[in-house]
Parts: sequence; C-alpha cells; structure tokens
Amino acid sequence: MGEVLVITSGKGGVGKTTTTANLGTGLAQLGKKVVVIDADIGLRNLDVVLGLENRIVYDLVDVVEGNCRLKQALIKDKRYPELFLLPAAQTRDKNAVSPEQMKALNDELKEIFDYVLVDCPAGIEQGFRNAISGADKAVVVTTPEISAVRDADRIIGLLEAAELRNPTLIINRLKIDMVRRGDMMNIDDMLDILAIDLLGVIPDDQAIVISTNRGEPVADGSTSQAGQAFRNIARRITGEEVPFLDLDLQDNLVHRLKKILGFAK
Amino acid sequence: MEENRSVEFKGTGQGLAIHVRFYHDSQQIKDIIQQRINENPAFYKGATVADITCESLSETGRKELEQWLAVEHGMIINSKENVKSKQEEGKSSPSKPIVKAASFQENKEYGTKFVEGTLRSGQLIEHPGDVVIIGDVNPGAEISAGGNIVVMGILRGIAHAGIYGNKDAFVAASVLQPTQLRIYQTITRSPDEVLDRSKNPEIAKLKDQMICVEPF
Amino acid sequence: MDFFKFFIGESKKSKNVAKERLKLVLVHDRADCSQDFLDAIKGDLIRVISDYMVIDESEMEIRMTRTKRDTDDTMIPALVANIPIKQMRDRKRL
Repeated sequence: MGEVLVITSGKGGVGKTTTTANLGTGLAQLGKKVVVIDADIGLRNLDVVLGLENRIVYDLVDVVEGNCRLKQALIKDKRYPELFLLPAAQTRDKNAVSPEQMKALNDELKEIFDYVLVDCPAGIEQGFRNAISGADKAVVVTTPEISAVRDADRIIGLLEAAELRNPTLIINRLKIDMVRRGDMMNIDDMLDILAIDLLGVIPDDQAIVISTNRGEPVADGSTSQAGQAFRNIARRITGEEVPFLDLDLQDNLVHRLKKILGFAK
Repeated sequence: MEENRSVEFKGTGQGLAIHVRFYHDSQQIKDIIQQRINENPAFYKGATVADITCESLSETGRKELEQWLAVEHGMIINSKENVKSKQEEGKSSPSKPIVKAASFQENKEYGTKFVEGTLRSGQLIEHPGDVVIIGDVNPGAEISAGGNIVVMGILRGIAHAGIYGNKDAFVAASVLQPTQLRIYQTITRSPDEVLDRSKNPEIAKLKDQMICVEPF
Repeated sequence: MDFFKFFIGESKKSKNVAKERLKLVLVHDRADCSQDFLDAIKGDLIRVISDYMVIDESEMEIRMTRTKRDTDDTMIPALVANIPIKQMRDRKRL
C-alpha cells in the first residue's frame, strides 16, 4: 500500500511543479515505484518539466470520465521505468473533476505505486480541494518572501481543517548570500512563523532553469546543489534520516566577530 | 532467453511483423518487447509495425499495445485490421493525388469551420467537417476535426484529423511542427531530439497506415 | 558601510522588517479565517456575562490582536473584547 503526498503552496510560482518532478525523480532513483499527478487542470506543466509533453494521448479527466483505462493514461518517464506521469487535461477546467473522483483515483493508484505525488494548483479554490482529496500527507512549498510565507500559513490552516495534519515544509529558492547579508528571511525565521517541521531547503540555483529548459529534472544525476537537495528530500520521504545541506548561513566572519564581542547570540 | 523468443519480430515489405507465440498478458508482452527494443533502440525507433498477431490478446489489448508502441517508442502502426478494412474499401493507392475531391465531398454536409487568430494552449477546436485556422496553433492547443485540417500558420499543438474514421483526411500547415499528429486512429509524435525542421509548408496524411509528411 | 552596520545591529536588516510585517499580517489573517470561531466565543461570552450585567450587544466588539507580554517585550497574540456595560444586575435578586 503506497502513500499519497500532495505538494501545495497557496501562492503560484514558488516551485510546486519543479518540486513534484524532482521528488518523483528522486524517489524513482531510490528504486521506488512512483506516479506524479498533475492536478492543475487547464494549466498543465508537469509534462513539460519532465519532458513528456509529446506523449500525452489521454489525461486525468479522460480517466475520471471513463474514456480510457487508468493504465492507458499513465506515461512512462524517459529515464526511469518506474516513474509515471498522469497528465492534466489542458482543454478542460477544474470542475471536470470532483474531490470524490480524485480520492477514488488516488486509492486505486496507491495500490499500484509506492508513492503518489500530486502537484496541486495554486489558489485555495476547487482545484486545491480536488488535489488534496485522498492525500495521506501534505508538503507545503514556500520561498523566503513575505507573500509566499503568508500564503503558506493560510494553506497550512486549510490543510489542518481538511484533516491533513502535520504538513511538512520545503523552503525553495533560498539565496544564501542574501540571507548572510540579512536581506532575506532565513530558515529559522520561517520555521518560527509557520511552526511546522522542515522537510528540506532548496538553494536558489541556475541549474534548475537550465534543467527545466531541457525537460530533465535537476535531481537526475546533476551535481548541482539543488539536485542534491531534492535527492536528500526524496530520501527523507522514504523515512531515512538525512542531515540538511550545509549552506553555511550563519557562520560568516561578521557574525563570528559579533559573537566574540557579544553582539549576537 | 526462452521467454525472449516467445515474441518474434520479422521484417516484411510493409514493416515489422510482431508475432507473440505463447500466452502472455499484455504487461508481459510489453516487458518482452521492451527488452528487445533495449537491445537495439536505434533499429526500432520510428519503425513501421505492419502486423501484430497474438491469440492471447483481445482486440482492445492489441489496440493498447499498438498505442503503446506508437507513443512510447515512436513506432508507426500499420496493423492488420486497418490494412484489411483499407483493402475492403478498395481505395488504397499510394500514387493517388494527396488532396482528393472525395474527401472534400464527404465533409460538405458539415461545412468548413474557419478560425481566425492564434489558438493558444488550452483552446480546443472541435468540428465534424474541415477546419481552417488562419493563424498559429500553439503547444497545448488542440484541433479535432472529422475532416481535414489546414493551418495557415505554424502548427505546434495537437492536430487530430478524420476522427470519425476518415482515413483520407490530411493535416496541412505553413509550418508543420506539431507536438502530436493523429489521423483517424494513427498517432505520431515529434521526436525527443530537437531536429532541424522544415520551415516550408507541409502536408501529413495516411499512406499505407503510416502518417507521411511531404512538402506541397 | 559594513563597519557602521555592525554597530546598528540586526534590527534594521530588511529580513527583520519582513519578519515583523509578516507576523502582524498573519495575526489578522489567522483571525480573519476563523470568524465563525470568534462568533462562537462572542455568543458564549454574552450568555455568561448577561447573568451578571446588562450589556450592549450591538456595540460589543471582539477581535484578535497582538500585544506586548508583561514580563518582556515579546509580541504575543491576544484576544481583545470590548463589552459596553449598560447596567449591573442585582446579584441578590438572582
């Protein structure tokens, strides 16, 4: 029996889709059988991030409406034979699926797969309600910006109201030099406010843009910091204890000097 | 190895003939074929499949296998049933002109739908007759026509001509760079590698159950 | 410049400004999204207090806010109720 994880954020553009694609890839690397579902009906993107856009014949709505069987709509990844994509419909809208149908679909998929990752649409409307339906756990993605953290807080409240307790947090696009200068909220600032467990931190990395251009997730073999961070999160999802990347945030020269002089803790 | 031989690949004039000799379920058959393809991926890529014979597969099972070969491995499907029905109709002749009067006549009752402007991602044009787009069709946009499709612009999305069984339907575009092309039940997709694609007008139509693209 | 920043300390850093603004916004957000919860409290308060005094229900106000903790300067969320009293009830007559 597998596990359904919904990847959500509230705010758009914080990296839900990139995270879903990379965690799917990372889990498949660990030999897990994984399906990633694009629940953003009408604005699908997970297919292009994985480089599978030209293979789509059937989609999630076709499955739900019974136009095809589930297995016909699952698209096998180019690189990992145990990784599959269930694409969203592009020419339909969010009302084409109901929460009950999503739950039934998730229940069916977790019989076959070890992990079902659901890429949730931005917002808190019907699309969000559909995407979290049938999920066992939730992962909240945020960036170190006031707007993204505020929306993450709202989402955590809504998840808890929907009985999805104890969501975990991924902080994306952390700019280490800005954190050092004190011009970006650091990990502790965000954990202090959101008060949920940290699943991982992804440093801001140009490698992500390059890999998305190519349709190859950065977690796939890349030596970049972001790729390593995604692979670590995948291992944490499987229950392994993996230390957080040493992003060298606090221990810069000025801070050490202040410590000595007693200006800082 | 024993298992490996239970699926036979034979080259014929029309393309590959796949013969499944022993009983297998569709997943086993896929696994065996996958194994064979892995041994020589270059050979199978874009190959034409002329026939699939297998007693243990149902009609839907065979259809699914064909679709899998087309979508996963970029093969072109030219299967027995399609060939048969084509012969029964007695229409097949590769030397025929590409645009036939007959295909226009068939769609006259529904007429031609003209769409002016760019079709963007998420837009779907459905029409039982012919469809003419005066503009570009972007990736993620889809045209589904009972008859022919003509794009007076760049076709980058999905075009499905002849959805109700018109095997003579064609897709023509000023620049033909679709994500996917479908004519009746035959599907092809663009290759994964970025190729130098033609910038000239091209037309795609079914020829011996293969989607052929040629300049016009 | 860095030399001066060193003496100013961390409070003026833009991330601290962000964090403070965010905390304030969130208190309002968290209160906003639980209006039903606030209404429930309001109803219960009216019921209990009415046993002891006559209050002006229409002017009654209840909201979430932030306040400084007495022991130190840490900001903490607080529930503030403003309940205008019209008249005390005579407890002996109860």
